[in-house]
Amino acid sequence: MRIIAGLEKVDSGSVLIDGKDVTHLPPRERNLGMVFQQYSLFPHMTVAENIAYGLRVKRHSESEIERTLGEMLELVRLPTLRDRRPMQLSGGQQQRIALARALATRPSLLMLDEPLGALDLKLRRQMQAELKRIHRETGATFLFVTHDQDEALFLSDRVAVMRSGRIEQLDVPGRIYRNPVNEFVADFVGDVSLLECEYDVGRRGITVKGEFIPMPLDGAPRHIALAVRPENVRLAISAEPGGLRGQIEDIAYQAGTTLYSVRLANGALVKSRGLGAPSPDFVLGTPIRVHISDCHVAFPREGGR
Amino acid sequence: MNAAADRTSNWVAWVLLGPGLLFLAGVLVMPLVDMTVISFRSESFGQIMPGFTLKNYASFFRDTTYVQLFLQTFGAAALVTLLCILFGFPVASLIADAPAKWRGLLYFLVAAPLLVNTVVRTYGWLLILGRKGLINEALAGMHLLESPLALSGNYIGLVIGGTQVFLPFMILSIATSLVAIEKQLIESSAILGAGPLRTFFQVKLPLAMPGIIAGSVLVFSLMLGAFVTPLILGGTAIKYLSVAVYTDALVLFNLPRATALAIVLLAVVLLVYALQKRTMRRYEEFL
Repeated sequence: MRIIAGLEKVDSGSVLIDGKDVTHLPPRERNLGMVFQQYSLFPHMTVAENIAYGLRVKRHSESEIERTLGEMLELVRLPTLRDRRPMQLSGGQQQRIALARALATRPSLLMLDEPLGALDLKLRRQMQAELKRIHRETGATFLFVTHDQDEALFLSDRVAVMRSGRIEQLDVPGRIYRNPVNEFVADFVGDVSLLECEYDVGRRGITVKGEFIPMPLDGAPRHIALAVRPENVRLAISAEPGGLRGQIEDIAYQAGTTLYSVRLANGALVKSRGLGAPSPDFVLGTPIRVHISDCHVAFPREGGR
Repeated sequence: MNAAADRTSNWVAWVLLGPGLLFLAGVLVMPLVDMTVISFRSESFGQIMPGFTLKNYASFFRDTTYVQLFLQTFGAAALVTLLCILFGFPVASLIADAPAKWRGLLYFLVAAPLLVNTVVRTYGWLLILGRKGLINEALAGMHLLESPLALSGNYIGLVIGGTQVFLPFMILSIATSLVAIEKQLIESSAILGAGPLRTFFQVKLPLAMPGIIAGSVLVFSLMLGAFVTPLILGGTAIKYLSVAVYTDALVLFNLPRATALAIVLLAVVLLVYALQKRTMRRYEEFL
């Protein structure tokens, strides 16, 4: 992001914005907007002066500045704060003003560097919704960096999962979640359990320690790791036939859903999410059977156990 | 019970503060009171006469030599302060932009001259600025001069010496302010399209103002009270308030006039501090 902004020099490669090579342009000639995690509003200027800063730099007329200022304050829904100083605003308000300042110059790309990282959870959710609305209303391109996977999936049209500076997968949120290209992406986005198992081509299903679950995985090798999302794991009482045997090791109630951790016979831990409060049938230590429905991804494994 | 504990700790605090407060009362407050009293007395042949008079103070406003003395002293101190800002800001900027691991060393280098006695440093300047000093000899050697430049024994020497002596205070004060400026503010300005000049004048300079003000007050009041530098580099030809106080008190034995001058000096410095407090409060609101 700092390279895109021109704050950092590139060792190799180039930066294109709208097809134009800007690799060697200074930041001020790139027509970008940037929102930092620490808001970084100019503390000695009022809200209005902050938002107008980029417009004054670009020598817009005062009447135009005044109009844009009004639009921006309206956009971030803080029309009454124009003469306050940043220190007099709450974190959420400061972040909105920072957003307004960055958008005022109509940048070709707005970069947001973990902009919600400093906000508490509730405010964060609120700002996410706001960001989505502003994104829709302005139609601008947003580049949003976050460590919060939920945030990434919720906000984005396209998500790039990065590991040590490299893109692991660039895709729409749904595919990132349902069809991760590798274990890193699968593990990074959302809850996932990796189940080491063997694929039985003849019976079209997987076996774990002799127990079998039907599951067609065309073209899968023999040794695989199955990436299982908790919502695709169903628990059943042990008297029921089929499934994999296991024991409930942990139960966590999470606002509306319950996350069960089940230890399987082969030692693997599988998570299962059920709606509502914990079921009375399943308590700690209950022997149960685990069923896995067909939404899943398998990664090849070398050798086996 | 809590109140009792509070009372005890209060009592202990006063006992611990006691010796220090007594010492201050003895060596600062008492002499000041004494000085103030003497400044309203008259003098005759080195003797302090009883009675109350305002003539010491009145003469400062009536006598043009005193008006000149004040103007030249404050002028010189103001000029030194201004030069310290101009020379100090780039150095402070360099320190603030340096990697954190180098900063300690740079701070030390800036503060190092303070470890050398002011008398020694000022004499060093005399070797450079004097009639037979380094600069004059060098320029004469290059046949650029017919007669030596008068760089010491006047206001030029005083200002050069004062600037060098008090520059570290300005640099340290400004650097503290600059270090506190978030790097993202400078970057935000650049991303918003501002060039280096605009960023400097609209972001960096305003945010450094607290440091500049604090440094200025420090340098200005230190320079007003400076005695060694004016005496050595200014010589006897110049009019300088602190030197005048010295001459009045220890050469002419006119203690009432000397104390009156000193009180005026003190009042000015206090006024400057009060002004600083007021302007700083404005900055504290948003920094």
